[in-house]
Amino acid sequence: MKGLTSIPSEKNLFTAYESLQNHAPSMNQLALWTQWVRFDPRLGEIFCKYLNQHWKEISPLDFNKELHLQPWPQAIGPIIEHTQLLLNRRERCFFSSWKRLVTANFSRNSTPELYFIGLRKFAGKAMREDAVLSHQAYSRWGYLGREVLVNKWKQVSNESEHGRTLLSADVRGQKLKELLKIRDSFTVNDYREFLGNAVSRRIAEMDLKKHPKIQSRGKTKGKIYFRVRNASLL
Amino acid sequence: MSNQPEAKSQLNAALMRKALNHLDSLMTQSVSLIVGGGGAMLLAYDFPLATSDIDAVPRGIDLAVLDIHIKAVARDLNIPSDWLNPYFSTFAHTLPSDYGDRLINVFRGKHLEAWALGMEDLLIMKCFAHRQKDIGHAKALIKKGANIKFVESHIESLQKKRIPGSQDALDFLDELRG
Repeated sequence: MKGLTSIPSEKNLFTAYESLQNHAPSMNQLALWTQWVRFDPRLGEIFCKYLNQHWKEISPLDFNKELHLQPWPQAIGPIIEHTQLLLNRRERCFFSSWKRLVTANFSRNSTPELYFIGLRKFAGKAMREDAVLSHQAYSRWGYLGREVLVNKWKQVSNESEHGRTLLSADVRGQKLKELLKIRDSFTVNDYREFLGNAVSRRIAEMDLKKHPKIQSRGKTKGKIYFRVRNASLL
Repeated sequence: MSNQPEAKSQLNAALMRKALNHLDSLMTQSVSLIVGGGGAMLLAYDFPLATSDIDAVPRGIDLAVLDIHIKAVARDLNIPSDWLNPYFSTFAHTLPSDYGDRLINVFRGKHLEAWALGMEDLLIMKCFAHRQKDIGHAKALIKKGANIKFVESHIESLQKKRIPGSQDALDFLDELRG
């Protein structure tokens, strides 16, 4: 399979971190480093933070042109999706337009593939879980992955503006089924934590409210959810 | 760091073994490679095909460290600088956890060993890739004795676990049966 002709070394990655944090990288460097993110989620976090601060200064058409020269242009997709999580509501609508231009003519992978390379045991349990529990930020681009490329995501997601749902309804349903097998009762925060904070509070409450085998007791923050007695989990 | 395209050259079995030998000479620690794709088809099953690289995932060494040696071999033998690369691992989530039981040794050097995926595992990956150009090789694997029932049963189990692409993989397998 074809891809980058050289795999980034530790030194290469440190240079990228430093440049994204302190200097103004060139368009060519930015495009190349979107590919390097596939080897290093930490670079992904730093890249998202950089985009959050500087996207308005980056010509989307020039960036699009540089990305097309890379073996995996659509690797920018998950990075952009995560950057969007950091923006406030007002910025998001402008960012959407920027995103459309940057990713113009990019095709989604036809066969879903793991986003990160070389970080998991080959054919191991974690790889399979990355595939089954993939976040939408990855699956929208034909990738599979669970890593949230936002530093201290739990803290960020608890701020109401940033609480976003990263998992599809299907995946959330599976995880809720697992939770019901191991816990008789729980709060909405327990459910959110079980999902790695990849669901907003509002959606989490809706999931629990509409589940046919879950009932609740109490009000607002103190509400406890529990499995309906004798309800099968099948 | 350059990412310029290079002149391609096809790797036949002899050149692959030469490259692996050379790589072995550069190793100072035990490293094993899990080989998939065209490299496995050529080295383990003698399929007559042309490929420009060996899809291989290393164990016992960091990817970036191995890459330095891969480049050295490429320079010395005048073959593509990415003649060995790990990118096929992005589809390895589709493999059964007991793939190790079916590995076939295709190279054993002083420090380096290379193990090709079994026929069923190669077929599983081809089903998930579901490319028309793979139909010939997939059928050849079946003709060589790959256990279709095992492959089908495994993909069905992945479908139950909701691994994306499972239905397409099953449809492709169905097509192979003709």
